[in-house]
Amino acid sequence: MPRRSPYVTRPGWGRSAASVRKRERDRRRRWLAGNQADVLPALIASLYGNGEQGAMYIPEPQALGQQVLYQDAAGTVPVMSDGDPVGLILDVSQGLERGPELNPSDNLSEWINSSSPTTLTTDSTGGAYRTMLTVGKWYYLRCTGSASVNFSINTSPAGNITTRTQIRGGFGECVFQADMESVYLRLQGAGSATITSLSIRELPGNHASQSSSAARPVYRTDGTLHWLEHDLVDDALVAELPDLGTNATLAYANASGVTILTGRTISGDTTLPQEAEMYGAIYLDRPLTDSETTQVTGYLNKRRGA
Amino acid sequence: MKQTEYIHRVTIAVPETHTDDANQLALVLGESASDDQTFTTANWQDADGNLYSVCSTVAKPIFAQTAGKPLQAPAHAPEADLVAATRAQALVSINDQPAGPNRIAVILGDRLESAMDHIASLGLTAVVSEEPL
Repeated sequence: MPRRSPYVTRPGWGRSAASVRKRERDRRRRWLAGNQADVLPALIASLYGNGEQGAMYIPEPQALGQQVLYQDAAGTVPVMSDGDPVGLILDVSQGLERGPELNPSDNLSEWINSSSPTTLTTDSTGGAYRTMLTVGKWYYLRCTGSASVNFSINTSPAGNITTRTQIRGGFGECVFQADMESVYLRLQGAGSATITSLSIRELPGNHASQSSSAARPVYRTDGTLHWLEHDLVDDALVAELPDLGTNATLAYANASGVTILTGRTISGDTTLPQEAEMYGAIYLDRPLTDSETTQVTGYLNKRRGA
Repeated sequence: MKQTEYIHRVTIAVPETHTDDANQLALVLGESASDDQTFTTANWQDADGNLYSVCSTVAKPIFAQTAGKPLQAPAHAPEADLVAATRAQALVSINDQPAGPNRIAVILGDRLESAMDHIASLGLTAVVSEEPL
């Protein structure tokens, strides 16, 4: 039986031709959006399913059902609107599947200096810590609770303390690359905090960030298409990629089309394509097959609306 | 979709002799502890060959509101050098003059304006690399 086009509506009672055209446009947009959502996991499986190294960056607030764009490099403020700066873009090549819970008891029983499984009490600046991270890996952290003084989650209980997130309004979350092995719950003065939940999980991938505010590209959308806008002055998102060898592939889409660069040597700090309009970028540690070239070109062209 | 809070585009040209002070001002007015690395390479020049470090970014209205007020160290940089930042602040000229060796010229416009248009109105061009192709 022939399949009916999924986005055809016919004029009928009470429907003007213009309203039907608008409904058709909206339905087609939804169909395209749904189709892209279906295509992405298949593309990821095709390119990275055999343990390939690399990264895939989709400049859209959410991909694979999760937030992937953040305004700050610390991953505490999600990108929500056209015009927001982008300080962190998550690599979706590993499917954004979080690792096992590193704080499974959901409390502070195993934390050094904790006052009880649910509370921290200090008579000066200080708190509890636990060694649980691997330096260089990325983590997702989420905490709910309340405190009588400023309360932050940091790495390192001493030395170069880096604040990851402040717990405000009873809630804090962040995505960060570990520079220390310890997570530190820190009260900034004498007081107490009550923890209701605390989750820390690895977030595999080669996520790209920009810590300097003025060098962050901008998220742009027209409601259908999504892209990163670089100002061509200083904007740059940088990922620390593993050694992809000397025959790696970089594919990206800009306003003009899709570019696939082969035989590249890619390793270490890598700046994502600084295009005025960047619709997506893919790094892979091997050449693309013919069918993958078609698949990648088609996917990136759809992202740029071609 | 919610409207972005970043309604301005700001482009700033700092003479190369003032980049250290300007980085402290960027740290105080910015949002990140890394903002003292805002002005690095002086790779733009005016018609007389004076060199400038340039940044361009989207900004919230609070940038314009606080740029001319007495400076305070922000939470993300409690040890910012306010003396240096204040020295830089005294050189700031907003939407008033092109880039010059004794001023920090700023173009403050709408978020949809182009950084390159801002730089052109500052009277700057990119320094052409002398490295062989």
